[in-house]
Amino acid sequence: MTEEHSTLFDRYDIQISNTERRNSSIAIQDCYIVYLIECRLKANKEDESICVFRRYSDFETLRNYLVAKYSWVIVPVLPEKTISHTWSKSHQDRTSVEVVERRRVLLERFLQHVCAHPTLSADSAVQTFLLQNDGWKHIVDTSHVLNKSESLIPSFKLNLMQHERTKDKRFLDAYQYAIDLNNVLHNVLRARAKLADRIFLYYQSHNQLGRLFSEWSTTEDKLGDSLQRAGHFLDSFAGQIEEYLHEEDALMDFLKHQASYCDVIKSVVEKHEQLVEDNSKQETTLGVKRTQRDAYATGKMNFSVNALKSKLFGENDQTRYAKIETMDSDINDAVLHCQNADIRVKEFNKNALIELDFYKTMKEEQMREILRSYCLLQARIAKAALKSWTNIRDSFSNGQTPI
Amino acid sequence: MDDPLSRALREDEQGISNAHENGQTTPNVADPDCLEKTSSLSISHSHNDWILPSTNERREEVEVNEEQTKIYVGDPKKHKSNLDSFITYLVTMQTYNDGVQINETNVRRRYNDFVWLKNLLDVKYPFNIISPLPIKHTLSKKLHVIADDGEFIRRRMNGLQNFLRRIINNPVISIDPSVQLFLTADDEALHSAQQQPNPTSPLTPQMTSSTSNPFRQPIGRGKPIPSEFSRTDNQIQMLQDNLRKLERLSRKIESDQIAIHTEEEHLLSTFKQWLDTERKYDENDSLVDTICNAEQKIVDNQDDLLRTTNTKYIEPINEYVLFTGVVQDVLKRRAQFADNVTASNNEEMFDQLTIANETIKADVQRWTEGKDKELMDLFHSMANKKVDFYTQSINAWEQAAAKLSTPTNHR
Repeated sequence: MTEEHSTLFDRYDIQISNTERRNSSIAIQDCYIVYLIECRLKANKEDESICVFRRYSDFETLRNYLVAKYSWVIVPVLPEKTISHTWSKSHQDRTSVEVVERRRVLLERFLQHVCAHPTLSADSAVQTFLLQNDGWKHIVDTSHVLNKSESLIPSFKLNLMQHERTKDKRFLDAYQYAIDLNNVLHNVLRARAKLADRIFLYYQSHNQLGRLFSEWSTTEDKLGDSLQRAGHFLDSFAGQIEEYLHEEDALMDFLKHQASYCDVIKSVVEKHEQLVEDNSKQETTLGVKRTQRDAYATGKMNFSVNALKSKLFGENDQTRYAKIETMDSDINDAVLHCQNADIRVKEFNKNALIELDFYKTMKEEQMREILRSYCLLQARIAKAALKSWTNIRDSFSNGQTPI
Repeated sequence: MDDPLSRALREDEQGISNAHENGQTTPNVADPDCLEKTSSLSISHSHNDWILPSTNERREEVEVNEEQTKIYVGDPKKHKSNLDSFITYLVTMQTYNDGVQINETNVRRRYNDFVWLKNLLDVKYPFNIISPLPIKHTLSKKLHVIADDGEFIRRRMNGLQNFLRRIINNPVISIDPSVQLFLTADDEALHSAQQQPNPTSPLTPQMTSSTSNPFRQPIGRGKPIPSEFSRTDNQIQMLQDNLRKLERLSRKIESDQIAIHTEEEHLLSTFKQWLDTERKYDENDSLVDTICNAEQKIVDNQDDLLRTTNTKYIEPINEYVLFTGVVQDVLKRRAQFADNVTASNNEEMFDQLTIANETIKADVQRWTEGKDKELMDLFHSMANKKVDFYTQSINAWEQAAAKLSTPTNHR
């Protein structure tokens, strides 16, 4: 791979190595978190790495720019802006250490995926974002792709105007799949959060049980030993779960991450539909112009306004001929527009489908990783519980060894 | 055939191996001196120093020349006779000498027969701790499982077995002719014995006036006179309190478990929805399928665990609470009798009181040992169930993780 065609990811080690709290005003609660991005050349590890500080909204701006500019690309997603689908004891504070850490991981992933994408990686805004302190915002602003009205209209139009869904099955399926998948994933996330709540309460009840056993042991002789041991192990059982549930919460971040991709898919398909619509509009316009021109040329429009006009203003053959020529050149323009639109659609489709295929592979891999981690985590929770209950059980067997 | 009775039978067969430990008793008939020694010792103690005999030391079981008796209650069978329909249980008694079986008797008895025997013993031995019978009707709300007849019958059989076992364990009561009749006689002999008028209580009416009511508050007679039994009374009361707390807490934990189970089932259904979505669009469903299978196993295992929590753990605790009530009743009866004796100053009654005191002390010791063992077993088996459950969970999840490690091929 030549230097020009390599991605940023090929050339650099990219990390978000640290975070800092900054204040936007004197007030203590007006604080925000910045993330330290470090890029080190792979080729020359001794070189000093390039460091920049960025906050979450910077990432957002960059991403919106990429989405608008490269509308066929499935742009990697950011961690969620507001925390959702958590169990009641989960970390709710956006600025807490754990939450910031979880965000850091996903932001790092975002950067790495963007930099691994050949098209996105080549964008000057991306390169400036990573490698220079300032300048990226300027590039984004002057690119005029973040035109607010334009970004609002497509989905607005599609939702209200009963827009005809694309006939292209591949895009249609992708769209439906994205909607359905998003729904089921959110259902899973919701159910998991409620389950975590119940599990936490269940473990807590065992705290009380441990206390009861400990108190009871003081009034018993032979049974007292066993009760005391059991009480001790019940306490340790009850204390296990919180840490694991937090870990499960962090794991769910990755599932939410996957769900966010569904929205990206949807907007790519909507862009496709917009282009297709555009294309067909051009063709319709062309058709209309052609019909008008032909009708004019053959003088069939006897009862139209134009016919009256020509009679009134005394059109002669010369003006008529000029008019036809104008119309012809107009038609040629329209033909060009059509061809362009057609090319745009075809280009878009081709690239988008490549993106979709690539996304599918990546999604499967990531899903596998997430589900596998989930299984392993559940196994670890069960193992810790097994250890406690084995000890509790053994407290009540005859001939026990001292702790 | 899968009616509740045969199911109970099948499950009971599994329980027979457990019953081995439960049914085995070692009545100290070989060592009557030991019993007397402890009782004479306790008389010489001063009032305030009398302590509940410590059961910490484990006496070495002397196997030589020792007769052992095992009792089993099983094989429930439905009977329809005339207007009645009831269940009988097979009561098997096996006697061993030095580990060799020398005798076995089998009789069929119904619940009412047990009730007859208990009522008889209650009257005849007012100062002995007679085990309660399993409850006639279950009123406990089974939130999770509809009252499973098989489970109820199994609980009852277990309770009846405990009842007989404890009776046999008592050297005085086990040789009572009614008990022997109950265990060995054929139906005719039993019926005719049941027609006999109820035996009179050895206590004349003036000796005891209290009726057996486990929930009645003790009669306050101003400042209680400290007796050698008041320490026992306190200990029993504390035990009862702890058992009550344990029962309450166990029910709470059970409802927590049920709540978890509901949410797990819900989570499973969302996984299944996910699976359907993948299949609908011809996507690779193997990943989600694996998760679904693992989660299904967890749900099933939880189901199993929950089904037995109430009957195998919570109800036995409840029954032990009632059992402590029985001990309290005996102590109250004794206290009442003692008061009457002091009041009447009758020499013969004083002797009877002495005998009663000794009987109670011996019984309380026996009862305490039994309680220790039975509660240990109960907690042990409940914890063991949890151990099994978590072992199965680990297997399910590790299997799933292994499946998810190897990249699957697209169809």
